[in-house]
Amino acid sequence: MKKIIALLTAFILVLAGCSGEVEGDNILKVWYWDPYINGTSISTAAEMYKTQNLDVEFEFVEMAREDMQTKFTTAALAGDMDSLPDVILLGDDIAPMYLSVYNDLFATNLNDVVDYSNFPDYKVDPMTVDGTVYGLPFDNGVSGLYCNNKIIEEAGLSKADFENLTWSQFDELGLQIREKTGKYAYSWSAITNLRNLVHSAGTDYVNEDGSLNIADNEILKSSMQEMQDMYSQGYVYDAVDWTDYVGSITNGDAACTVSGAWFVPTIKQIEGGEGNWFIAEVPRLDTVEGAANATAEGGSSWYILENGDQDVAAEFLNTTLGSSSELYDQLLTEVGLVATYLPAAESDTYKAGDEFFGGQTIYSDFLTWSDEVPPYLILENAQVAQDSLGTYINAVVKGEMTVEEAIAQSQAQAEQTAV
Amino acid sequence: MKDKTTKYLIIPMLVLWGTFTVFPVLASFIKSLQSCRGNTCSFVGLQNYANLLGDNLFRESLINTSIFFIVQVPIMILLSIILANVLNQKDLRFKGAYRTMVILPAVTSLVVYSIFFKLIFMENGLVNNLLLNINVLDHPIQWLSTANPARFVLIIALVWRWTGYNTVFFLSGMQNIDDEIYEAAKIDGANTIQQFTRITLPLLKPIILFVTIISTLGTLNLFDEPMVITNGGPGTATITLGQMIYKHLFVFTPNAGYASAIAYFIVIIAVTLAILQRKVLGDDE
Repeated sequence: MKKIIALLTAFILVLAGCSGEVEGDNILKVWYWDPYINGTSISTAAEMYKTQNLDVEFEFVEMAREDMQTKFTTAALAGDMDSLPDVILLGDDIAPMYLSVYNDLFATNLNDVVDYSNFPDYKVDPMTVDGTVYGLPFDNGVSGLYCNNKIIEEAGLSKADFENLTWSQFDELGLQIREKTGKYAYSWSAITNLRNLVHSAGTDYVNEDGSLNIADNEILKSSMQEMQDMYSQGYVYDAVDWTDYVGSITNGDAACTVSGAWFVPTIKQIEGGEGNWFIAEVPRLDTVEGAANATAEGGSSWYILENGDQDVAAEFLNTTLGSSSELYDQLLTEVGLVATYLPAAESDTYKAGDEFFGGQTIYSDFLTWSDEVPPYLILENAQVAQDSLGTYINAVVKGEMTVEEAIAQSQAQAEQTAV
Repeated sequence: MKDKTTKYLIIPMLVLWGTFTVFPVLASFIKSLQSCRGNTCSFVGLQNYANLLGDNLFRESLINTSIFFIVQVPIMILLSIILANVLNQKDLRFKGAYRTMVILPAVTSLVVYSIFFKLIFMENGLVNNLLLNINVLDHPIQWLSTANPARFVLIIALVWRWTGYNTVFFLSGMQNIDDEIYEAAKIDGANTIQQFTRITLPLLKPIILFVTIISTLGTLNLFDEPMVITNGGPGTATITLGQMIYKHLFVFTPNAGYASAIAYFIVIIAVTLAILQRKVLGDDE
């Protein structure tokens, strides 16, 4: 009998352990991924805020990006608001879907306090629903063409050859690198590269009304064709996943790649790489009229959930990441966070050259390029379209499938899931 | 203790089972008759099931799951029986050490071992380097980004992970077979192979049936390995039913209705296969 009582007591204790948190307790719970850039940024902002507001406490929860999305969806589906945080970091690619499906979970407080003219449209537009802006734009996903100068010089080329390129000009350089050095000239994750090309020409996989834009998307066709041509020349390293992709660059297997501004800290971790790297503007599609030498990839923004201390959360975000150039200066120096807060560009820190990149003023370059990123749409169905294109892009670049077949099948597959 | 008290003792278990097993099973069936967008659901009857039949991605994942099932399960069971037979030899030394080694893969974390397989089979990974160095290959195979090699890697991974686990079942089955039967057979002049095929295998039948059924269920629910090693790719070459459910809940606009319908489809296949296997292997008990 004693044992049974002990077991029951244990059971009750376990259940009691699952109680929720109290609202209005001035504890801001924050979810984010990546301890280095995102973690340092939000905790530095918190330190700054706490000097003025002694009664506010923070609770930081770091987890993998995919885990965070899974956890968010699970809690939202179960209606379990207690397990959700006050402030959450969401990727710019996934946020529009969440804002549309779980609109009532998001607080509108930021809309009233933040001056959005200080942020680029390509960040603000996707977080706007019916005229209300829901988030605070955070890191800059504007892309650059990162090149390993050692390999470039080995191929008898120089930085000047890589400025203001079209993709067909890059083709010639790529072949030269491959022939002279035996190394890959370019490394990509195929589906990310496809989206970069499409965005650089100012379009996306969805139309303005949210419907799919795959089958009749001429820019998408040209982009896929371009990638097929590039791969057939043999100078592209087709990375299986993120680790493989980063490895191909940091190990010196491939000379160049296109990635977001947030890739700088990764490059800087390459041992002995100092002075051997430069960043040029991304090549443009010469098959599409009006395509820009600029695109953006990744990037994320902060959102406040309709759960607990929204007012405090909004004040915290606005007074720190929403309006402080000093904070962005500090974060750039400490972890290499490239802001989307435009006034930050005026500071000396942003205008300074970076020794790792041979003194190049990469940060003001990035902010210049982010002005040129063509506006594109990210809407709810973009994720479905991206997934169905991801199914076939691999076969297309390897020439196992024609662009037309892939586009037709992607459209058909996406239609089955699109809302 | 009297019978009455024993009855009451089942109550906590019944409550837990009812709450955490029966209720979710019923609730998810009701969900499978709805179409959802986040938390907004509407009743659509059997529409989800009808949509499944026309869904290419679903067909692909069904085909992939079948490939894994048809190729991997027989190989694994055969290897398990052979291993168990070897480990069951009376004159084998260091038995304990070998048995531990055989069960080790089954106690490693699913995600950790999957990551290792992924690293081993990368374009510049261990396998390619080894094969290049001993001149079997003249250029590296893209294991993870071509369809059939990717499937091959997954099957190898699954065999590595689960063979030892099943060996334990066979081993315990073999130890339950009375030595006297083998002694009698020896006196009658049966050799080792005859002993194996005429005595060991028939007496292991219930275990073979059990292992086949749990392996079938395992394959139908396959998720971790393709998620980590290939992420369903390249293209749709290794996407499984489990990943379909995940996509419809966590990648696309969340549709718990459609995801539940896929889950119920798996249940239907699993039950059908289990009945078939019972028939084929003829379980008399």
